[in-house]
Amino acid sequence: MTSEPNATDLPEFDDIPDPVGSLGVRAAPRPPALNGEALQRSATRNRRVAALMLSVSWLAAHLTVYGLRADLASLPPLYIAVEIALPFALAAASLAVALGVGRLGLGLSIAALSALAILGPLSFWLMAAGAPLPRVPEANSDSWLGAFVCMDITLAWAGVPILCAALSLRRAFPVAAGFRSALVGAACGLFAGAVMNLHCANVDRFHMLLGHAVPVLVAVLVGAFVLRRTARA
Amino acid sequence: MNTVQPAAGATPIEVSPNPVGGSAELGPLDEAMSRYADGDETAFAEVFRGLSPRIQCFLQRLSGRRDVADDLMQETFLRMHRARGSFARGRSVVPWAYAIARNCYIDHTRSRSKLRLASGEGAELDVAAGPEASAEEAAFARRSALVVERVLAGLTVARREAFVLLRYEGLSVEAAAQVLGISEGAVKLRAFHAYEALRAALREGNS
Repeated sequence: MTSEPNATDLPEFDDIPDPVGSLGVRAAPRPPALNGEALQRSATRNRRVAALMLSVSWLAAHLTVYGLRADLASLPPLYIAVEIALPFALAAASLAVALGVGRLGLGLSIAALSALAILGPLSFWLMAAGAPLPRVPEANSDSWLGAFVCMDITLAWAGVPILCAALSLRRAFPVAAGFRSALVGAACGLFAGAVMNLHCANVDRFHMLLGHAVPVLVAVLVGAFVLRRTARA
Repeated sequence: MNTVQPAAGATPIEVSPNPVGGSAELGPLDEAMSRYADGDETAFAEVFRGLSPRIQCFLQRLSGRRDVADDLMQETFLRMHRARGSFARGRSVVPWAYAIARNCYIDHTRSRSKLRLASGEGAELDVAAGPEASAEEAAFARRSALVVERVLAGLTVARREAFVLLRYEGLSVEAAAQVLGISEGAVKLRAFHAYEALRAALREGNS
């Protein structure tokens, strides 16, 4: 019975002949007719910067209009850390990892991608479900209507950044496009969720899960299954 | 620059010895692609000339068919053209081209709803036994190549592409893992299983 290879004992393959033969065995082929949009690197970079600025402006403008939560100054530092700072940090990390170039220009390792694609949204859910409450939730704070209102708003807040990503990250990912697009979706969802946590003062766990955390999950799924279609090179 | 001897009557094709997964030093092909990504339209011909034989052979090893490989190669360079704005500055073009070529092949297999090639279906071989090989050696080489082609066609896409990248394309394990979007351990495992199947078939064929 042959044992599985470990990190160092992969056998030499030179005894296996090549069924195709050597390079350049035929006449030089003709290059394809180049058509379709093909932005230069500078234009691509500008488009992505514009998309990022538009997304940040979108969130900032809505937070300005909707306003910060009234109890922000009285929240415990731990609550602010896990419900606001941590989502922002994970969102930024998700975006950085998704867009990371890597040593060979094909992005960062699949391990980093998959870990953060799970860790980011999962932590938001865990904090929403299990973080120590700063106070007893108000009466009727667990209403379906209230949760749906927040869910709809958070989805809209994540939607524009996702759209901006779809337009600016066309053909950006030649490898692991699904994971990378999921991470971009997670970043959009986490940013929106964090901003909603900055605005909405409802601390009820049901409200946090349905109204704030579900949109993060939706954004990840939209990234993984929709965004990847345009982002794959 | 390495000049590869083509078939009789064809134009010699120069292939740059771009390191793949090894040294960080960029070659002329990488610089050409970088210039093309920055808008130098004349650089595309240089990239195509340097990469097309390699990509064509890679696709033929995956698909087992020259006509399919030709079409997919054209599609690969078209996608490279459209994605040039995303080509990372200071990186090698070869792994990037392989990744896009692989995507073209995967899309082709999905559109045909086939993940395994029918053994011998439309397969064409360019067996090189060497200019001074005897008739017996040439026949042996052809027989071995047929066995390899048959076994490769019977492998899953995952094992076939891992083995092809390591054995025939000369990629390092790290580079192959990056191109395939899997871990280095997974690359080794897939290539090992492919190698075992090939070696067993060759041993059986030679006995």
